[in-house]
Amino acid sequence: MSNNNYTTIVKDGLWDNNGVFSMLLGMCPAMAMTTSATNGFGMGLATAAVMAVSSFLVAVFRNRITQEVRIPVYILIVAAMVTLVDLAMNAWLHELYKVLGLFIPLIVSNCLPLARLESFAARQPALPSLLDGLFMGLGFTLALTAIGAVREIVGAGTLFADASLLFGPAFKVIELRLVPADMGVLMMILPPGGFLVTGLLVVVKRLLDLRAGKEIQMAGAHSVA
Amino acid sequence: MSAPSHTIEGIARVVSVSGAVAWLEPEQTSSCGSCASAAQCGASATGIGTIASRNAARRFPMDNGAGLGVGERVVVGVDDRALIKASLTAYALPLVAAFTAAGLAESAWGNDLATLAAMAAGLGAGLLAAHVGARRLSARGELAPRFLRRARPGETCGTDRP
Amino acid sequence: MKDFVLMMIGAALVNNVILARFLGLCSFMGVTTRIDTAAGMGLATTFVITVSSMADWAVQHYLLDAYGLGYLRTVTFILVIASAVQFTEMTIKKVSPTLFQMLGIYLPLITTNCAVLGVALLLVEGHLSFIGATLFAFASSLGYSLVMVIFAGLRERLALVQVPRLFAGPPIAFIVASLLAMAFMGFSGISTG
Repeated sequence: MSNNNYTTIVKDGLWDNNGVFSMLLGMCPAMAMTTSATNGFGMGLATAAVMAVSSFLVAVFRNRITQEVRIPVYILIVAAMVTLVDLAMNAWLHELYKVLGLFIPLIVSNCLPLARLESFAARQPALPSLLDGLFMGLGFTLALTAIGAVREIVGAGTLFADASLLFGPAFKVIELRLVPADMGVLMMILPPGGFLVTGLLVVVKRLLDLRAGKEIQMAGAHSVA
Repeated sequence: MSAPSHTIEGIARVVSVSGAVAWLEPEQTSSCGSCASAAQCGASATGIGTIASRNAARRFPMDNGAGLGVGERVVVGVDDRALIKASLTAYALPLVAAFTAAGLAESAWGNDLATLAAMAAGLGAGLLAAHVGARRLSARGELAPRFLRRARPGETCGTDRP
Repeated sequence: MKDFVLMMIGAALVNNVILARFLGLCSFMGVTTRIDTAAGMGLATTFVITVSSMADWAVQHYLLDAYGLGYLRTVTFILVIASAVQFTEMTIKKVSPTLFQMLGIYLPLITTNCAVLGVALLLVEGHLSFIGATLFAFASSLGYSLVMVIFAGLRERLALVQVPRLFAGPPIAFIVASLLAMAFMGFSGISTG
């Protein structure tokens, strides 16, 4: 794995080493905030913002952070970024903020940002780290949107419902109703559906990996760097 | 208890031998599911608050009846009932004391600050009680890990395999 | 008194931390391969959640509310939690070094456990009194421990069964978890709001 190969970073973050489906990190928001595709998308973007900036900051200061205080410093940087994102969303994306509620501050305890800081940003220069954080975050967004889309389509029959409410009137065009309202399986939007869909999508990813001739990742997390 | 007790196994490494006592350090890195993902859980390499220092702090003595040398890896066992008893002593006792104190303060004064102070005091008292309890448990030798066998060359923390 | 009991049942079972609120899932998947590790983790987390909730409530009321520093909540809470974990480690070490050897392994993981921060934020939202807040935290963490142990029992049995290769490990565990979540939904009949 070439460290400074930007294509590798992008591909790994988005798909090969996807945070949710391959590394199985960041499960809490992946199941809690995916009751619809819009929510998943919003949650993912918030996390991606935090990850990109904190990876960048840690990479910039990586030679000055000693081993002893490593973890507290990482946590503080992520917490500060999360506070910024939290306040920004409260001000400019208020509807989305209300939906995501508790889970924006909980990005601090999301295993994914910390794992990337630990295994990539602590050793790589600033620009690759920024890209790694950004694309891992975007891969996370992809995963969450996928889970949210499946749950929403099977559960409520819509796709990207309330997108205009959360992101602005320009997004009204992507609100779709695919299945009549009374044909939805309510369980999908409730907690059991979250577990079920995530598990099944991990299987789908493994199937796709198998078809592409890659090894299936059996246990949980793997590191890139 | 009706359930049969069984032995939990763990791998440790001998770091020094002095006479009939061998000092061992646990090898298990973290319980993050599988050994491969241990690196993701926020601790690696050396320094304070990392695996190496945590393992060093967890060094324990053991009878060297089996004639172990430095660097050997062994499998040690702990009774799972002993683990439950230890956990309850360390955690449940202080919490029960804290809540009893808080409950009494709440019904006596009903004021937040008083309850807070009472709970902190109860926690402290509970920790003292746990100290005494733990001393008694270890005096009875129930807490100490015992030597089971030498580790086979490829054996790792696979006891935690998913 | 009855209100407290209902609130505690609600926190432990109806709105279970893991199965309804989706908090603490990394440890839920990672530490439940054996019942004894799950039980140890559950007890340690119970202690940390209760102690850190005490401290978080105090910080919220006497520091953040008093001086209007609400926006610092995330940062201060995470600091309090990290300190609570350190405190727990130190006291367990003092209480008994032997206990520390056996139990110390779970403690570092608890700092980034979403359940700890999540419960703290929830009790702030609930505007509870001190005793209410700590009982809420305690009950939530008991619910967490219960589900951890149940799930570990299920997974131990799952390990003995032949599962298709694509499903082995995390996927089948998720599917079992979804069944467990469905079972726990039955508790919502005890409507506590």
